[in-house]
Amino acid sequence: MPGPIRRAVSFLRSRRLAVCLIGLVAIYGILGTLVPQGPLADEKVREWVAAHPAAETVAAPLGMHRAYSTPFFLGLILLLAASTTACAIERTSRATRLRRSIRANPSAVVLDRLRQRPEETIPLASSEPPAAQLSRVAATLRDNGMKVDNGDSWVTGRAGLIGLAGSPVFHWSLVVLMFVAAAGQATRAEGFLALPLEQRVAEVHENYLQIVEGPLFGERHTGLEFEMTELDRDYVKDEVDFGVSPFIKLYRDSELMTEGWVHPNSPLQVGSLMVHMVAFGPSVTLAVEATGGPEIARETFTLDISTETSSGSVAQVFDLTDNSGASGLVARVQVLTRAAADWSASESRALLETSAVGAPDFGPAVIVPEGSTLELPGGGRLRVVEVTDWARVSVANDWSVPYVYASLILATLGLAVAVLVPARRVSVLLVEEGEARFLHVGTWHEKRDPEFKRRVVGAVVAAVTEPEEE
Amino acid sequence: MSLTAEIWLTWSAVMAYALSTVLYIMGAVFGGKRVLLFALVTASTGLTLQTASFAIRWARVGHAPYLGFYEVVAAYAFATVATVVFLGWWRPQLRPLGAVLMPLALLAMGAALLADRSDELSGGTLASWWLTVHVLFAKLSYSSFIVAFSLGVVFLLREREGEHRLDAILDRLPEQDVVDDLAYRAAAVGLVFLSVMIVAGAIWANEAWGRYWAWDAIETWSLVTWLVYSLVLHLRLTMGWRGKRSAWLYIVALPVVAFSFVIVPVVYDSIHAGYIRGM
Repeated sequence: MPGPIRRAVSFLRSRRLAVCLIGLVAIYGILGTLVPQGPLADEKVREWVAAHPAAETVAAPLGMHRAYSTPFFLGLILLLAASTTACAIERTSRATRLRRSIRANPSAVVLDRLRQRPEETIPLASSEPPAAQLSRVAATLRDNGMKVDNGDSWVTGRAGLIGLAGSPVFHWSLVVLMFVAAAGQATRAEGFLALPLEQRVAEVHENYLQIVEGPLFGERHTGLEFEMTELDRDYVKDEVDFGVSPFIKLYRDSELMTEGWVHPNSPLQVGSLMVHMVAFGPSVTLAVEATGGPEIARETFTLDISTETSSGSVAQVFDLTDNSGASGLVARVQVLTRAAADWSASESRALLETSAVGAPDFGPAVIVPEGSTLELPGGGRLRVVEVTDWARVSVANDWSVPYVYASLILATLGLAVAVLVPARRVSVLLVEEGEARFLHVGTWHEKRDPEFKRRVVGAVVAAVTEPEEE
Repeated sequence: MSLTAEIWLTWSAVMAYALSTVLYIMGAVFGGKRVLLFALVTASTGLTLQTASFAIRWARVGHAPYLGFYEVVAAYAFATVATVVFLGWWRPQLRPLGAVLMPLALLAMGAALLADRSDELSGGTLASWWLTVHVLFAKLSYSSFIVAFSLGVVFLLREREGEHRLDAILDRLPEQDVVDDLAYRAAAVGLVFLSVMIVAGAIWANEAWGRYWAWDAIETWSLVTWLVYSLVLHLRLTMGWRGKRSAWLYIVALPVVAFSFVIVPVVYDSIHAGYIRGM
């Protein structure tokens, strides 16, 4: 291996580096929680900036409002991933080596070492044949859950070999987790779709109210059609009140793929697409009719309840354009309603303000029931065709979720196995010195449990001193 | 009626915990083996009373004690006493640890009782089995970490030079190498429990809100706690930090857990804040 590569590998394998990186990520994580995360337009961020102008002079240049996507943090995570990979390789080769050496019969060197430097020496009564005494030792090790091998003058026991796999599984799972989570973030998309009651909306980029697409997402929208067929203001299931919940159907080429009530802990899912309920509000279908003539424009508008004002009302301006597209804008309407929480589509009426095309101000607000009309300032009539509900749903397209779960679960299992199932080995050698006989005992415990040797020696002593059962 | 019974049971449990704390400290200072046994029996009685109090509250409000400051902190006190009781019956040699842990439990109960104890009703977001796993493993990890903490404390107390009044009782504890090993095991098992808590929380968050990780303050602090204990174990297993240094690490790491589980939801404007401030 060339020098620079060897040095890089050695640097990445360094335990000190791993410790430093874990510490740095923890410290940086804490710093990130001191500042609200999100875009500068976010209300929480705006409030914080207003309240802490001095701190903002430091936080803003460092990009601390997006602390977990700064190049520094991403670099730190990348280095941690590389260090974890190096660690995983080292742990795997160590575990393989250990497993092989524990499973192998003791070599002459090992037996000689046990003869010369035993951890414990147990004198034996010489009345019983050596083979019978070794057989008792083997039986007691077996009773203690160990797999036993024996030769003419030795017995070895081993247990917890699966524990050797724990650390490699844990480290490799973390590597996979970091890789999959990063890949998932780069290729995911998440946004809000507006679903007016009983209208189909396709899952395509243009239909999103707001969407965040990862840099590698491409144009992988599914084109699935969403239809909200019902909106329950007070959905109760198993005596639990889930609040406002829509019943949504998903179609692919008019074929129903799935359907169901969407509420917290019950998202609708098709493949990697996951749909959650976010909010609801009023939806108004308006039409413009020429004076004494036919309908020239018709559109459905959804009132975004996130624009709710402090007075508890929602006001939004909509432009109605000519159906034929010939004359463009035909009316500008401001639709007002009470706060979304108080909104009831059953009222079936809209509070409207209208203005002439090109005029800067709106006329007085007028309540127009469903089916009724309102004279427009510039001529023609505005008809309230339908007043109903719409739901804003969050649609996340993330293929990585099951893989993230799998690697999280595997990492936890690996950690549990590494911690709870320590590998251990016992070697017992029968040594004869003249008339005297001894058992030389050697123990090895992966986690250096100080009680292990005591337990083993106690069990071996008990085995060779107990009278043999008839 | 049920509210009155709950209040009576809670206060009776607090009295039992207070008495048990005094007895544990007396047992530790004067070295009374029987006093320690009596302290353990008193703590067990208090635990039974608090269990009954929680059961009545659970039946009334329709959810386990995980909502609002009172329920959350009282549940941590419960977990602490349960740990003392478990250790005391499982390994009588470890009974003196009650002198370290029972004051913590009593303090937690005191803090809980100072808070608003009104009933918090569980909403749809909380109606998930993942939440049960999440909360259960949070308590288990906390219990494991306080065991590591208390073993770290007794390890360091025994390492002091010269003769001390506590020596009589500290000598009844297992050998120092065994205390060191038990503390490591407690921290390691705690890390496994914490991992399960984080995984269950991530799955629940995805089901409830559509994201398994959002760098929310409490999520980040849970990760920080996980990283801190990973660091503690790393230092021991790969860099050979044992004995005194390890003991200090178990002591220093516990405030991170307490901050993460109890203080963060109070001081941060987090999506999780509702569980401790009330929905």
